[in-house]
Amino acid sequence: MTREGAFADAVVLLRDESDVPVLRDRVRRLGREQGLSRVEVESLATAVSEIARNVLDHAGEGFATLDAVADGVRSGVQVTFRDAGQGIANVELALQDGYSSRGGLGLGLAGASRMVDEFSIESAPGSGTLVTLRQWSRQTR
Amino acid sequence: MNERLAALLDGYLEGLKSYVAGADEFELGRAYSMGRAALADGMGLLEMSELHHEALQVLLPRVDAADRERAVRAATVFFNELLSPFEMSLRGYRMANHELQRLNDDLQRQKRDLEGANRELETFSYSASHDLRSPLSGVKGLCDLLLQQRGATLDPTARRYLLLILESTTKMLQLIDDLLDLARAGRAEMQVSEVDLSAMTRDICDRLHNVEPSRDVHFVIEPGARVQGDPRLLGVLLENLLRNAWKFTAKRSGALVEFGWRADDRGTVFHVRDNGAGFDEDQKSRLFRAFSRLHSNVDFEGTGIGLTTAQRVVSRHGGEIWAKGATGLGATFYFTLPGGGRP
Repeated sequence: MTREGAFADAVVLLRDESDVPVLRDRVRRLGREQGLSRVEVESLATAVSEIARNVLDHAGEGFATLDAVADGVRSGVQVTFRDAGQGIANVELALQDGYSSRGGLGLGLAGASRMVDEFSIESAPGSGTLVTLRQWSRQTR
Repeated sequence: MNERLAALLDGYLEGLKSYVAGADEFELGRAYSMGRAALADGMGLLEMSELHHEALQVLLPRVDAADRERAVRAATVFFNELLSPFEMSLRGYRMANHELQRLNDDLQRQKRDLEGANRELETFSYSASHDLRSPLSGVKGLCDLLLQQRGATLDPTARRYLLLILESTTKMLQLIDDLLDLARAGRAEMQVSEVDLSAMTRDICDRLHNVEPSRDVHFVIEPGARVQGDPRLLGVLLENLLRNAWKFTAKRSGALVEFGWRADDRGTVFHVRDNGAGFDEDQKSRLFRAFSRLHSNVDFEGTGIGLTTAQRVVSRHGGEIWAKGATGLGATFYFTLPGGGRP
């Protein structure tokens, strides 16, 4: 994917629960601007809630960056979460269903990954975690 | 409406009212958290639907008719938010299910491959043994003939060689017969009928005695052990166990071989007991393994297949076989034959 046409839209700090709605609101708005359908926006918002919850639970704080992205055919939204927490020793394990999700199978990181088109995670013990979500609009413009 | 739902209704209604009035993302976050908690509590989608329905029934009459359409749209957004954790979880289950299906297919395929390979191996060992048997019988027959008809004309060394050939040939024929029994015990179609194990034991003991009439072995056979099973296979089972008992009591006086049964929680447990050489309990795990022998050929001859065959026969009948013993104190083999039973 080329980053042609991408621009840094916003940075949202995640300090406590009350920041999550702010982030979700920005995500929703950018999603609509980028031509995402309601279901696409809703799925992305759900994934964003899960990751934000993860950041607050495990690192205590962090921030998210929103970007409008395009690959020449489609447009979409990219949300990047960064934190400086302990990091994840075993990313593969953390992505397994039921690893740390208390709500049941399919929530947490694994659940979030299935709500969006693209999902990546970079982490190492001691160096924090970087999670990137991307959701594309199905309709071509 | 059940209790758990009723407990959620106030909170949901409050959030919904406030969202419909002001469309605040904060309220949507609450709907999401409520959905997540409900999911964790084991609640289902139909319950969520009922919850929403109840809330709408309270809310909508209080909304101006002109504003009702907008209110319903906003309520739908709120409801979606309540449902989204369920959607997320559902995708997880779908994927897990898919993965399970794949693993199961793999397993089934491996099982089929394994069964096929096993069948081929058994067919091979059966036909190999079978094809080896006839030429070897020919050799043995000719040796017998030579010894009986021309024995007098042979010089003593030639006679001795001939006897050694005959002895080796006889051993090899026994091994082939044992292998054929083993292959048959795994392959043969079961022909089930009533079998009198006591009578069968009696016959086999008589035969053993006729082969070596000089040996003094006392047999104790409990009569009337009738079971349902394959007579041929059960004959092979008893033959192997009794031949063992006969063989391992060869070096003692007052040899005793006993057949009987007891009823316990496993059903009827049959046993063949002897007071012969016994075996080392630590070596027990090797007892039923093919070609594995606990005694040297110098002490007791054998092919090491008999007990493997016995185990296969018992397992074809859905039963179990096990042994107890101690070196020098004899051995007892126990087996069950479900479907059979005490008369």
